[in-house]
Amino acid sequence: MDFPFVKEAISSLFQKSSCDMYPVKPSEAAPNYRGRIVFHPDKCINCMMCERVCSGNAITHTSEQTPEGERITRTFYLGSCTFCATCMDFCGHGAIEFTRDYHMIATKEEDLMVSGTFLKKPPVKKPKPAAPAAPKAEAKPAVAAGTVIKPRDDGKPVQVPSKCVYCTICAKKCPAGALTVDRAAKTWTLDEDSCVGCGTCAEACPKKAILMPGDEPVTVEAAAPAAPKAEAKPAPAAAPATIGREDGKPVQDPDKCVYCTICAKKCPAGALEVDRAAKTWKLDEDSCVACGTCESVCPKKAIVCGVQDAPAAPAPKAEEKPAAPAAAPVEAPKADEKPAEPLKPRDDGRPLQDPSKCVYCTICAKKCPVGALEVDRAAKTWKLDEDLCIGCGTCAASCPKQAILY
Amino acid sequence: MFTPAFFTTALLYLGYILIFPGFLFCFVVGLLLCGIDRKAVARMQKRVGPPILQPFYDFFKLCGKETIVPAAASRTTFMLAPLVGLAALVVIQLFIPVFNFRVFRNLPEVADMIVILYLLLIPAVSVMLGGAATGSPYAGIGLSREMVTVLAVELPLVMVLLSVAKAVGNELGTGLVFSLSGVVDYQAAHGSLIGHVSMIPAALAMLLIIPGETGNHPFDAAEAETEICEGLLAEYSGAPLGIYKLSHAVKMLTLTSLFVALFLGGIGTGVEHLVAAIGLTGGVAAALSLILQVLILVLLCIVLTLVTISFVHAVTARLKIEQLFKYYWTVVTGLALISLVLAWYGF
Amino acid sequence: MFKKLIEESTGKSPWLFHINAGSCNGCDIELVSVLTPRYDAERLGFKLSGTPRHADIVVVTGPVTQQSLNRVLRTIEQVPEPRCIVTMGSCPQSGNVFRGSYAIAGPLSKYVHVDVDVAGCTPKPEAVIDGLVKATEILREKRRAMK
Repeated sequence: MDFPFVKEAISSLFQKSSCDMYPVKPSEAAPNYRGRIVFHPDKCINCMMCERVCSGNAITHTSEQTPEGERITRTFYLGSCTFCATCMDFCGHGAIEFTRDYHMIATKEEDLMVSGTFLKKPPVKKPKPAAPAAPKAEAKPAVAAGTVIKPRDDGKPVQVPSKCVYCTICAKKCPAGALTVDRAAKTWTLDEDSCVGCGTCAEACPKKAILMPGDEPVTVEAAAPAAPKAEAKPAPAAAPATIGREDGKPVQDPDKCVYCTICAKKCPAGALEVDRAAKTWKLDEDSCVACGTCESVCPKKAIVCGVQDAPAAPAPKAEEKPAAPAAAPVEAPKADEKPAEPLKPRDDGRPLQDPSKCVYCTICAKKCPVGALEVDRAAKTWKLDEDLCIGCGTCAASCPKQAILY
Repeated sequence: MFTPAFFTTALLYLGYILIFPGFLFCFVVGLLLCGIDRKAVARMQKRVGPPILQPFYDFFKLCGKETIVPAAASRTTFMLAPLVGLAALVVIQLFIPVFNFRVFRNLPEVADMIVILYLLLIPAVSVMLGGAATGSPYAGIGLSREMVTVLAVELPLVMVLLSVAKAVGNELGTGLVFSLSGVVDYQAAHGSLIGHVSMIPAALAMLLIIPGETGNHPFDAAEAETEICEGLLAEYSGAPLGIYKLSHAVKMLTLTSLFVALFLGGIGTGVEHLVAAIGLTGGVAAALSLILQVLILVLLCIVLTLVTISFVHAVTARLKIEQLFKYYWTVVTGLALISLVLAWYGF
Repeated sequence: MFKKLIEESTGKSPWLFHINAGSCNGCDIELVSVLTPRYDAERLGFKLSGTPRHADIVVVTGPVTQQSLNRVLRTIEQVPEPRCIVTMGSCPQSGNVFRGSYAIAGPLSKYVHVDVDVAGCTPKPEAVIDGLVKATEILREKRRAMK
C-alpha cells in the first residue's frame, strides 16, 4: 500500500484554500462568454434568419396589425437556448447580442424570456421610384401584351415575368426561403406562408423584376423581345460622324452591346434597364442624371455619354469577345496601364481566375447565380462558361482568397 | 425502598444517562467531532469545507423531514432499530471512564471491556436490522458488506483488548484485567500504557480499527454512496436517518474515548492534584477537575479523530470489501498479535 | 423554537440528488465541478447524496427521454418533503435541440412542478451555485409552510 497524497494533504492543511468563495466574492465570466441574450428591437428588420438557424427553436415571434404598421415581438427563450450564437452570427444588423451575464436563474418561465417589440420597417425603396413611374409605364404600353402587374398590398413580392430571367438570385437571398425559382422550367413561386415581406428579393433582383409595395405597377410585355421599343427612346447611335447626345445622357451602341446589365447595375440613379434575354437596353430619361458612370463601366465601350467623335470615342483597349455581335470591332493595342500586375481583369466584365491564389474551394461556382463556373477541387480546374456568364461579379465578391479578378 | 436517598440516586443516574456522560454529551461532542472531521478533510483537500456545526444542521434538518416508510418494510423494526443502536452507544459511553470520573464507581471488578465489546456490536446490528427491514436490494448488499466489516474489525479489536488486559494484568500480577476502570486506575498510578513498548503495536492497531468500526473512509464499503446508494441506509429518510447519522457521530466519540481510556488513561488523572495545588477544595474542586478532565478528553478525541479518521479519509480511496477484510485480518490483526505476544512475555 | 431551529437548519443543509434524464453529460460534469475545491459548495452545506430518500434538492439534467421519464418521476416521488426540484441546463426546461424528437418526453415541467430553472447550456458552476442557493431559500419557505 502506498499513499501518494500524504504530503499534499498535510501541506494543504496549512495553505490557503483554492476556493473561489463564489457567492461571497462575485465572479465575472470570461471575455467571450456567451450568456444572457440582449435583443435590440430597433435594429431588427424581421428577416427571420435567427429563427431559421436556431437549433433549439428558442426564438419565436408574434405579430399584430396596428394602425402604425405591423407590430412584431421577437422572443428569445433562454431555457431552450444552446448559446451557440449562430443567431448572432447570422443577424446582419447586430440586433442580437450575447452578454457575459450568466445569472440565469428562474423560478418562473417568464424569467428566462428575453423579448423586444418593434414596428416593422417597410422595405427599403429604391431611389428611383417617384418620378420615373409615369414614363416607364407609358413607354411600355405600346407593345404591351398583357395586364398591368401591380404590387401587392400585403407587403409580399410580385414577379414581373417579362423582366424575370429566372436567375434564382432572389431565391438564394430570401432569408425565409420562401421563393422557389426553377431556371429550366422558368417558374417563380412564392411560399405565402414563409414570406415575411422583407423586400430582400426585390433588392437583390438584378432585373428589378420583383415589385414590392411602393413600386409602380408594370405592364406585362409580350413574351417575344420587342426590339423597337428599346430603340424608341435612346437614339440609335448610327451616325458615323458624331455619336452621343447633347445632354450628356448615354447612348447605346447596339452593335457593341452584349446586354451584360453591368451598366444598369452600376447606374446610381437606376435609370437603365437592360434585359439580357430580350436584348433590350432602355434609358429612363427622367431618372438619368447624366453622370457617365455607365460609360465608364461598360466593358464593351458600347455606351457614349455626350457628343463624341465616332472613331475616337471607343476606348482603345476594348478586346472583343467572340460572343459579342462585333459588327464594327475596334481593335486597339493593349494599354500598359498596370505593368506591375501580371493578371489584368478582363475588359468584358467577366471574371478571371488568378491561379496563384485560387484554392479551388468551389465557393465561386456555388455562388454563381447563373451556374457559369465549373470548379473541380480534385483536378484543380476553374472553367468559365463564357456564354452563361452575365458578368455580375458575385464570384469575385464571394472568393475568400481574392483570387478572382473582376 | 422509596427513600429520599433512592430518589437522589435515581436522579443522579438519570442525569448520567441523559446529560453526562450520556445522551447530551454524546450528542454535542459526537456531532462536533463529525463537524471537525468534515472541516479537516475539506482543508486537507484544499477546500474551505462546511461550518463546524454542519452535522447539527444536518441532524435538525433530518428531524424536520418527512419520514417515508417503504411499503415492503416492517414498520416497527424500521423505526426502532436506529433508537436501539443509539441507546447502545450511550450505554457504552457510561462504561468508558473519563479519567478519574466513573459512572459505576462502586463496581471496580466489573469486566466492562467485554461488555463494551458486545455493546459495540449492537449499533452495527441495529443498522443491519433496520436496513434489512426495508427490503431494499441495496440494503441487502450493504448488509452483507456490513457483516463482513464487523467480522473483520472484531478480531483485531478483541486482540487489542486482550493484549491491554494482559499487559495490565502482568504488571499488577492478577492475570488478565478486563475492567476498564482497572486499566485507567493502573495508568493513573503508573503512567499511560502508550509508553510501554509492548503496547505500541496495539495502539497502532486500535488507531486503524477506529475508522473501520465507525465505517469511515476508506473502510466504508458497506455504505458506499456512489455504488450502492449508502447501502443499509438507502431507504431511510427523515428522523430515523438523522438518528443513524447521530449514531455514526457518537461512534466516533465512543471509539476515540475508548482509545484514550485504553492507552492514554494517565494523561488527565493528575488534574485533581493540580486543582488541589491551587487551593480549591470540596465541591468546587471536584467540579473544576471534572470539567478539566472532560476538556482534556474532548481535546484528545479531536486529535485522534483528525489523525485516524480525517487524515486517513483524505489520503485514501475506498477499499473493496475483500481488500478490507484481508487488510484487517492480516495487517491490523498482526499488529495486535505482536502486542499480545510482547505483553505475554512481559515487555 | 424547535421549529425555528429546524427551519434554519433546512436552509443550511441541502443535500442534492442528481438525476441524469438523458443528459449529454455536460451538465453532469458541471454539477460535480461545483463540489470541487475551486467552487466547494460544501461550504454552504451542499452534499451529494447517494439515494433520493436522503435528498432535499433534486437536480435534473437532460431532456427527459421517454425511457427515463417514468424513472425520473418515481425517483422524485421518493424524495421526502420538503423537497425542491431544480432543472439544470436548457434540456429539462424545453428539450433544447432535442425538442420535438420522438424520444423526448420533456419538458419536465409538464409532469412535476419545477422550482428553479438554471439556464445555460451548460450553466457556469457559479450559475449552478446561484440556482442551488435559490433552491435552498425555497426549501426553507416550504419547511416554514409545513405543519
